[in-house]
Amino acid sequence: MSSASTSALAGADASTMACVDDARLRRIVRDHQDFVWRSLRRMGVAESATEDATQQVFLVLSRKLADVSADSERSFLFGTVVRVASDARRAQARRREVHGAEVEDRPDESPSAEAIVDEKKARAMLDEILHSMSEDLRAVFVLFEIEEVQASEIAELLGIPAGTVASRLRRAREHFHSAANRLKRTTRHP
Amino acid sequence: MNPEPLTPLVKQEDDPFEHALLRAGQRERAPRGSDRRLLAALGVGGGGALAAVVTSYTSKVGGKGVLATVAVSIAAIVAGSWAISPSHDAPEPTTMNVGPPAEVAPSAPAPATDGKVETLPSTRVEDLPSSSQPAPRPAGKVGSPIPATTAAASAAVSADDAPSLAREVALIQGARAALARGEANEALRTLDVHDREFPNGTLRPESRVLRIETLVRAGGEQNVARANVLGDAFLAEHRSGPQARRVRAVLGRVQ
Repeated sequence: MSSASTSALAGADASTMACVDDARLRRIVRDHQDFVWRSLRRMGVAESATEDATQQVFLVLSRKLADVSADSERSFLFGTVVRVASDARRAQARRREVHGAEVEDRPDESPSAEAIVDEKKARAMLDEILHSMSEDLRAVFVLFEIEEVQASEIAELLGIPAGTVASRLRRAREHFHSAANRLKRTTRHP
Repeated sequence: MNPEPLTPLVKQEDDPFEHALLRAGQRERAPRGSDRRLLAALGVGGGGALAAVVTSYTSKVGGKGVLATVAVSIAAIVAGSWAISPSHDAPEPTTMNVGPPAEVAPSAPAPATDGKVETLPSTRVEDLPSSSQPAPRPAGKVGSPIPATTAAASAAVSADDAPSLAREVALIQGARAALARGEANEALRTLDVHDREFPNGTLRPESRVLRIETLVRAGGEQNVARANVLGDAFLAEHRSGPQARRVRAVLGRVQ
């Protein structure tokens, strides 16, 4: 085979790989964008910052795409979500220090019962509860209670034993019930 | 004994207040249009990337008339670049009657020739206009997310630009069609016209990539050398994204 033919084949291979990567990225975005978005929100990223954070997560994935197997995409994404969300929370905290208390995504002090049906307010309450959890508990709670990921998969996603998942979930639930009860008591009824 | 499987709270008969909170969290979705911006930020599928900008733009202007046509055409051009690209579907030309490339500045008129061409018009790297306008692919800044708040704004194009865009689209489409027919000289002439009329045009990056592809397909030592020089210059400015990948793939055939 001539060197020209060899180089042509190499070029075709590179081109094919680029197409494959593009197709894979598109599929991953299609399959996991909502998951990443929700996870970032539940892990404490403000709504206004979530689109940028989502892009950061997928940019990290795109750079490591060759190293991420198909069955570990969600695990990789969630691990990146946790790191990106942590950075975002710190940035939000700095902004609060500079500009005072952030009102975005905070529930009303005493929302009416009808307000519960307001998705945004309900999510804000949920996020307020999650905000008061430690990151470890929060990650397990979000994956299990919001994303309904099985405990065994959570163990794989987070790289922790199944028993640790169960104990963290138990403590997270206790925290959630307690905080939800407090919120309910302070909710203004008509 | 197996432990009792855990059940999410939303599937248990429990507190409706807690259910409301959890269900609200579950129902949240990424906003509409964010997937296109995300793909654009990732530089995935040039057509999709530009289409994100174009779609955003057309949604601002109502997507009517020539603007909508231009928008669709641009998206089709860039998206189609993979399909038409010689690195994919089009067969390599077996013979090309081309001579050594001539160094033609963008401001110089295209050589009026009919039929056979003795020289391949091309543009010197040093004459390439610096990209003072944003590239059509918003992911030009490597590794940086496109701010959600500015993604739509980046697509803001004056309605007065529509005729120019239409002309750019026509020229790039013409060049690509010529290349698909194996008429490299015609493709290069058309690209020269494009670059002369739109030195900072919206489709300037596409023109540069297409020129590199055309030179490679034309073959010959000098054309390939010129493609490498232009490719290096392009990759120095655009290190990632679909166009950079195209350039690498095309140059990979001749290295």
